[in-house]
Amino acid sequence: MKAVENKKEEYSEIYRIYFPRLVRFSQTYLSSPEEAENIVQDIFLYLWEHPALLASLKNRNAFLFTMVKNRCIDHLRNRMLLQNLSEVDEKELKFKLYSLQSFEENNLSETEIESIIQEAIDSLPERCREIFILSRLQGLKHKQIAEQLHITTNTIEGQIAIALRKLREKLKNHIPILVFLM
Amino acid sequence: MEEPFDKYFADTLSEEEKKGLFRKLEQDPVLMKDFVRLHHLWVIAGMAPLETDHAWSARKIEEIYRQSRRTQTRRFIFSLLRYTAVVALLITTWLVAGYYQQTGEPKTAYTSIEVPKGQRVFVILPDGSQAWLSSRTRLTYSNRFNEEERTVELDGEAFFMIEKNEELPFIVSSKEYSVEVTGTKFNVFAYSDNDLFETDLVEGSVWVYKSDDKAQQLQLFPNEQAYLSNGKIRKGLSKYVVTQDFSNGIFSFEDRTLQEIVNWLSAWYNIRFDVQQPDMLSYTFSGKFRQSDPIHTVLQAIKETGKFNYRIVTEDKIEIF
Repeated sequence: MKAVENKKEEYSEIYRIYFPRLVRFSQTYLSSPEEAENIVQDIFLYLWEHPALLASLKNRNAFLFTMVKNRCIDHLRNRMLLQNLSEVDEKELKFKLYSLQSFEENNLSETEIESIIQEAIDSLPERCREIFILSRLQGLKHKQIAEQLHITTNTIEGQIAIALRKLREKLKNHIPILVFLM
Repeated sequence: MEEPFDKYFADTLSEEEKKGLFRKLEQDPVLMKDFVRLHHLWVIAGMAPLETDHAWSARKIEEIYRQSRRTQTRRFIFSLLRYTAVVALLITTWLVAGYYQQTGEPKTAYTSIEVPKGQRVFVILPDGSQAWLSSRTRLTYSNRFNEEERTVELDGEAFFMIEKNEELPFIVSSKEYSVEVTGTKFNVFAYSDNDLFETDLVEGSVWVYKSDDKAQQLQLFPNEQAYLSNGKIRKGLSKYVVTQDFSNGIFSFEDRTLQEIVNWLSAWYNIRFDVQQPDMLSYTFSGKFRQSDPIHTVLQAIKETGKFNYRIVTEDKIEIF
């Protein structure tokens, strides 16, 4: 019975760390948050039922992100096969597919990546951080943010721009792909 | 960094501006490279934790355990069945024989409610639960309902308001999928002659699973919907609207595609639709109508929006063009 408990404990630890991150990762690429959740949940169900696989992993982080990445690529390709996509939607899908395929998931395998990012976000000015968290992490639409914080669309655009610039500056030493040409 | 980039991430670009941005990116590979880097930064920033993450994953992991428990129970029962099949057969024969000797008639009797085309029926079940049954729906339950179980069989569509009873879960079983609840409000759409299966949850929580394979299941929370996609049960946001008109037989919908509307109408009125241009199926509509209205009244109203035209070809076939 003890082995079962240990297995459950280890699994739930991994789940707790990765589930939210993987869902937010796939949400960036898929248009529906539910579909993003479904994809990650399917992968975790498989892992729960195949404990040997989880135990044998050398680089858990890269493995999980690669699984999710591949499922998202399939999903985007399937969506592109749909007829009656508008020109903009089609181009956006193409762009997202390109971005996803060129995403190097090993960039995320550094163990302290989470704290580096959190630190970078924490260092943003208060209003800026608040807006960035609502938009990026909670996935709210700009209209919802404007309503909730009683601010204009212009303010949101400005603060997001500041957040991106500061984060890029902070993270570029840790994550090589973020060294910009511009 | 340029302004349209920031606006893209702030999600404030208009359709036109987005078009312009993507056109620019296609023409300028350097710009594209930078935009992709910025997109990657956006992705990476999502790795930061949120305060609500803990509660969220604690809730979702329970779905995994529950789903997997059902698979394991099933496996166990199967292996047990192999060994006990012969014994069970004997016992059943004896039970059935003994039973007939005692009473001379079978114990289980069923009550069935059938709603004719174009009608809607309100029923109160023996346990006090209530249901609105849509056109062409049949609801069946046994005389043991509310004693040993609370199972109803549904062929069609019904909106349920279930009395709470933790010990006897209420189960709606349809051709392929079942919905299990303890007390809540929800709608089930499951006509046996239609491929569509949908459950929309208004209040409480429900479990939806494949009737012959409980491992294929998921839990719904308010304003979520379960639907079939490529033979798999999936979760989405519910667009189901319950208005005050509901109990007067008025059906309201908001922002629904022609595809969805055609699906309902063909189930309720038993009619086949022939849509000439496939892209019409993605047009969206909002409105309300009485389920007892004749179909041409309904179509006429939607047609007034000017997005399509229709022709009644035969009694059970309508062409949309």
